[in-house]
Amino acid sequence: MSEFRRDAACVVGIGHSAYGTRGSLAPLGLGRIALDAVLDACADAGLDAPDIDGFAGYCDDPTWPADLAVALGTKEFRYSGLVWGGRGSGVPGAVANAYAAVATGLADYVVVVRSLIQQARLGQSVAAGVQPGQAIPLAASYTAPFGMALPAAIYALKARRHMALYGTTTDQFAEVTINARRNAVNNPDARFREEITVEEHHASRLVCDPLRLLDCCMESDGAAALIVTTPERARDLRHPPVSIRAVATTGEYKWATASFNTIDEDYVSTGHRRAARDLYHRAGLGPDDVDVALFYDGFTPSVIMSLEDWGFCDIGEGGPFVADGGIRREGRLPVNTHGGNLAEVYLQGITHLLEGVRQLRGTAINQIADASVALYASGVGASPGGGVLLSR
Amino acid sequence: MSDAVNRPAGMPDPVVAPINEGMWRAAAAGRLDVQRCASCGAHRYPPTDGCYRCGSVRWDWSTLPGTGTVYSYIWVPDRTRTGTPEAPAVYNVAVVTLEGTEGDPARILSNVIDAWSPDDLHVGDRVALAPVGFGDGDDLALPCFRMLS
Ligand SMILES: [Zn+2]
Repeated sequence: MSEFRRDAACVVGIGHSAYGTRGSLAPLGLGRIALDAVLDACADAGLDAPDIDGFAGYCDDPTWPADLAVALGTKEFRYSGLVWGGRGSGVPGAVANAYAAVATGLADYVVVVRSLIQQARLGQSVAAGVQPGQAIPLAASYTAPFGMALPAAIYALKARRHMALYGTTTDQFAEVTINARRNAVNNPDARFREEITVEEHHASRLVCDPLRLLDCCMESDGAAALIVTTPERARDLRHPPVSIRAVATTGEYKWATASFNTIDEDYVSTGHRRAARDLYHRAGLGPDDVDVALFYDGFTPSVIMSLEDWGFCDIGEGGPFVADGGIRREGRLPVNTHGGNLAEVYLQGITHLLEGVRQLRGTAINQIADASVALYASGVGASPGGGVLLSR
Repeated sequence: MSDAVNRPAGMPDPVVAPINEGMWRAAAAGRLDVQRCASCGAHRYPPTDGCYRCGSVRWDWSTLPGTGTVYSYIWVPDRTRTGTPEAPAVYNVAVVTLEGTEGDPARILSNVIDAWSPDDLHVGDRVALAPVGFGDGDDLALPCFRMLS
């Protein structure tokens, strides 16, 4: 593997649009909320919006950078890059594109942006991007006809085998949401700010056994953005930069889009163990150096498997790790200190990176004392996903 | 409900294409045919254009015994019917590791059509092919499974 050039780019601005319930921002439109997020990030950075000269997106984002650039008054439109594939894996790829673009001189200020308005209900798809009644693509012929319909089903299949192999319990899944809700209580941007109990979790509607409604993230609207530039350019801006220590997007063997035909040792995972190995190696850091973890939490098993995949415990020990409070703010590894997809907003991961930046600036609502390294890790999705290590 | 089949309602039919038509037709004839590399003999599912093991693009169909073991499974509420405590309105989706394959284990995602309630299925249970037809004629079927006890 080639030598990685670490700390070659940094985050200098973060921002987001208004957040709302599913479909509520449709009157504004994807372009407008993306613009709101980028302008908010520019104001945060102290950067003139027309100086943005690159765009990095993921999740097949339909908001065209060419349109955004016109709305922003972009003077020199030097770069755009999109990461293919849906679900929760694309953020590190978008960060990698931004990182590479500024580190190599392709662009000066690249904004990573995601805008989402859920007029199509992702939570009721019969296949990726396919609503009930629509024709399915060829690749869905091996799943959709069998009722493998909900995004939750992908996690539920992994969760069942995790339970069978390691004795993981639904109480432990519940603890992931309990933690997210607890962290969202004082987050004014969060949608679900009431704490829940294990009993409330178990009483919630069955979505896809073993997963219940309170194992699932919300459906929501919103946009978020972060601005990436070089450490040299960052000196002229408003905040001390948060360094991107390293990024890694290394897919698992035969993973595709979270296939049921991965090799056996990869199946019960988020699909990022090779990315974890590469990320720690590139950063010269390990799990013990991480002060805050931002794990993609579309569904609760994601957090339990991420703890294992990213080396915070042995394989199979993610359940006990959360059961004894390990992911709480006072625990061994504070996880999703903003509430995450389960309680704050669901924008397919980018809001977790915003929280990582806030933690390292020292401005988070649930600030972890002296936090200096934050990890973002993708969830299950189209390969390759991976992770980002931020440091200050 | 011995004659009934536990399948989700309202799901789309597969796209019938040259790369998969043989397996739907084989299932209608009571066989489990899976794509096999014509060069090295590795089985693969779902079908792909190239062989992960040797790189060949030549392949043919290979008839397997049709048996396998449950690798994982879920139960999904079926809102089109009303259940009872003894027989809740749920269908299963199961991942089955196929027997008699060459190469990396081949798993198929399917339904165990004679399993009706969450106590009926376990990781490691053995199952066997039980095709369920689709389309207008009787020449195409989905490779579903039944319990082997
Ligand atoms: Zn071959």
